[in-house]
Amino acid sequence: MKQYTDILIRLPLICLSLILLIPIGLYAHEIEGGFQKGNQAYKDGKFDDAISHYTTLVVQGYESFELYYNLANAHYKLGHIAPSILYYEKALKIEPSNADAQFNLKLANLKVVDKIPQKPVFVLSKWWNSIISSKSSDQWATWAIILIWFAAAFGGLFLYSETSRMKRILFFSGIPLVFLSVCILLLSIQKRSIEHTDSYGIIYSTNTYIKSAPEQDAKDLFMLHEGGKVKIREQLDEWTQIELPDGKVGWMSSKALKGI
Amino acid sequence: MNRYIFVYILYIGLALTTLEAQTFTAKATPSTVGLGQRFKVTFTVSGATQVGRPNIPSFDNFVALGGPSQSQNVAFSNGQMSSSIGWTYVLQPKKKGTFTIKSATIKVADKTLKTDPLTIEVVDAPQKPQSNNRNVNPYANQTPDQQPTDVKELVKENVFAKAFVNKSNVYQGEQLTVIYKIYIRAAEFSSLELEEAPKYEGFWAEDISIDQLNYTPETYDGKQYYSAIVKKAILFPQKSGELTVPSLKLKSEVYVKVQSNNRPRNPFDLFFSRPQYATAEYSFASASHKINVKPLPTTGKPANFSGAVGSFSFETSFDKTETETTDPVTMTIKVKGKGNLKTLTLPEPFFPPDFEVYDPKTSDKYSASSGSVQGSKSADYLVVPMNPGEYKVEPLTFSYFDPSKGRYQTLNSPDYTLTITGDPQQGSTIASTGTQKEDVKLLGEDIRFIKSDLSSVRKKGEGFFGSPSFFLLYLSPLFLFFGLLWRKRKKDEEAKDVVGMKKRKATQMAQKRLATAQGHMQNGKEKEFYDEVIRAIWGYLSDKLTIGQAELSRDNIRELLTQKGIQPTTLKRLTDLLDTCEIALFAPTMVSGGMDATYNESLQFISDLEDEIVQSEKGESKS
Repeated sequence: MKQYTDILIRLPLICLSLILLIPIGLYAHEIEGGFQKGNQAYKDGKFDDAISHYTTLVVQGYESFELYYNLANAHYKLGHIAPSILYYEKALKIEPSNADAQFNLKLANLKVVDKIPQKPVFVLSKWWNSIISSKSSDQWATWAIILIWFAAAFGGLFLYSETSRMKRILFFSGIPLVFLSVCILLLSIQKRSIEHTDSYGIIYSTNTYIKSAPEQDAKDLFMLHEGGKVKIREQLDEWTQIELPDGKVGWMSSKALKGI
Repeated sequence: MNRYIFVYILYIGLALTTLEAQTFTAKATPSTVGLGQRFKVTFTVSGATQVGRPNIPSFDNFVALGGPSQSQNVAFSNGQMSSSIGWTYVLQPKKKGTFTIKSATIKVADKTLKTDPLTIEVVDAPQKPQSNNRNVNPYANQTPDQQPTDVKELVKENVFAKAFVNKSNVYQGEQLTVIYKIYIRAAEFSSLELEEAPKYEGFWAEDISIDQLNYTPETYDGKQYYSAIVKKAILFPQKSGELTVPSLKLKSEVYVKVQSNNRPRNPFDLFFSRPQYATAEYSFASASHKINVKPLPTTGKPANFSGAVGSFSFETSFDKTETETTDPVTMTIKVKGKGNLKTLTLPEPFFPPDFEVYDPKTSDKYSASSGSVQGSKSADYLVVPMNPGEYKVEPLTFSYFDPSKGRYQTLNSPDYTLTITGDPQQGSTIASTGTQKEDVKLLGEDIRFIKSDLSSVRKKGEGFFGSPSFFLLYLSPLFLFFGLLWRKRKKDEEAKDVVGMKKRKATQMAQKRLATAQGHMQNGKEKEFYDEVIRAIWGYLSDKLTIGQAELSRDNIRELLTQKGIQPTTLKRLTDLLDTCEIALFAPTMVSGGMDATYNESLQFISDLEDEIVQSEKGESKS
């Protein structure tokens, strides 16, 4: 009987130590070389080379905030508006609150022809959106884990504390921690679903017609230019239904669009 | 007329016989004329075959009615050939008096020949028509008041105007042609003018100019007439309903052939009497025509129909389809064909907002000479592309009503794609909100520098959230907590069980010890015996009262047992029993009754105490 109890306690600890032993940058050493080559080319002003170095890593399926950010910078330097916006957006998807990426994206957006006015948003939902969008789902998940560990630690102390005063303090600080952690976990789930369903795209062709229906002969509703960010609503064969921040909806050729 | 020319030639011929070669003469026939009468002036050069145009003086006081008619004559007389060229004018005096016609000159073979001035005497018009004996005065002249009453009738019979329209039932906007014709027989117009220009009310009219009257023989109502078109117009009805093509009012002066009133003077006259002419002022008009104008059908009317009626072709063109930003492109829209070109409107092209479109230059080119209005109407649009890209220019549609088919036709222009290269010119937006202030501030700035170190790298699709390690990390503290909780519970429970067991087995344990003591007693080991008995009693009490052996003392046992409601006699028995055993340990001789009595007493005591404790616990639980 006693052995089982011990295993139950030790297993999470073993797991935790194993996970903590794995470096967070799991693949960092694999792409370090290519990444630094790209950086060197960038510093030398060879933006074309930098792009090819970075892009090689992206094509291999590596994802990193710094990789996307640097690639976007290189594209920006060469005046490739659409790719630079695309990669800034990708970088911000990993680190939504990064000030440098936000600043550079703003500069890149200045070169976009279309200035699409925002649909007015309810204050409360704006506030909620700003909270939820400030961190990625992974970042929220990390916070939920940190809090639940604290809660567990408080719980353990609670069990073995002798005095009732100590027990009371630990109980009333441990329960809110659990509650907060669960809330943040829900936030993370919410953010994750937003990341999955609210996919956005960047217009890649210099200009494209937005049509009323997914067919070539459909009526042209309006036109968008390179670099514009649109929300992807639906995809049908070669066509994508998009939505603009001001609520306009239309269909466009999927070829002229790249998902973030 | 030919008749008289013959006479002139005869005269000239006579003259030639007397004149030498290369002379230039002028002659008036007659030299005395009545007011309103016509006479002829002939300039003749003889003896020359190659001459230029003579320099004829102006006929100030006369009206030139005709001429010059040129005549050439070659004659042989006395074996000599003589030739002459004459220029004849028909003149009419303006007023009475004696007038001079100045000399005429002509250049003949480096020489300038000159005629003598002519003197013409103009007198009152003769009372009677000139007799037929003077053939040089062909037209009898009479003032209207002196005309016989039947002259007007005669004119009416022989002169009239008619209007013809080619269609009397048309659609609104459909072109129709109106022709006004005059008919004349046995008479000639000396003057003909419009009394009033026709007003085409309800029509848009395009006049076809008539340079000169072109008389052609035409049979009308069984009679031979000369007819000529005096006016022709193409009309476009501008509204539906019954419209009137107005009549044409004409004013004229007519020479009409009249039968002489005079009875023939002699039989000779009967044969040689010539027709006589009278002049009459005559105003006449054509009839007006009613035209039924049908409205254009509403069924099948295209949405973009703009009033074009006729038959047209439609074309659009670009001067180039590839250009750079700010380099203008011209789009031409052209409608060609027959119909109301003047009033139709061309379709307007639609350009994306990335183009600046300037007002079009329009031009109409059409003519009505061929009996219908045809030509083209075009508009040139100058557009300046502002942003690079591939732009589609919407195809234009042009709709018109074809009256011959009675339905609407729609023509489409082809699609055009404009390829624009170059730098974008800011400012063209789908819903421009203008550049914001903060944006302007940012314009001069550069992007922030690249990151030099990687913080975390993952493979695509390997999100932390939802991954096994995430669940492990999130759930392991829960497991840890509940594991700890369970372990603590278990320990507590175990601890509790030990006490219960001890309590339950207290009597058993005591009896076991007492049995050991009995063994010692039988072996005569007195010391071991008492020792064992004391341990049995103390052990029993320790287990039963859940007190550690170390804490046992007579005082706290008495206290606890009293609490449990144990009788003082039983407590006295315990004290006695303990005293007996302790005394027996240190001074065995002082013990009464020996080991047997102590053994039985201790057995009895534990049994009694057990009963008493059970009873008191029962009573406790009952109360």
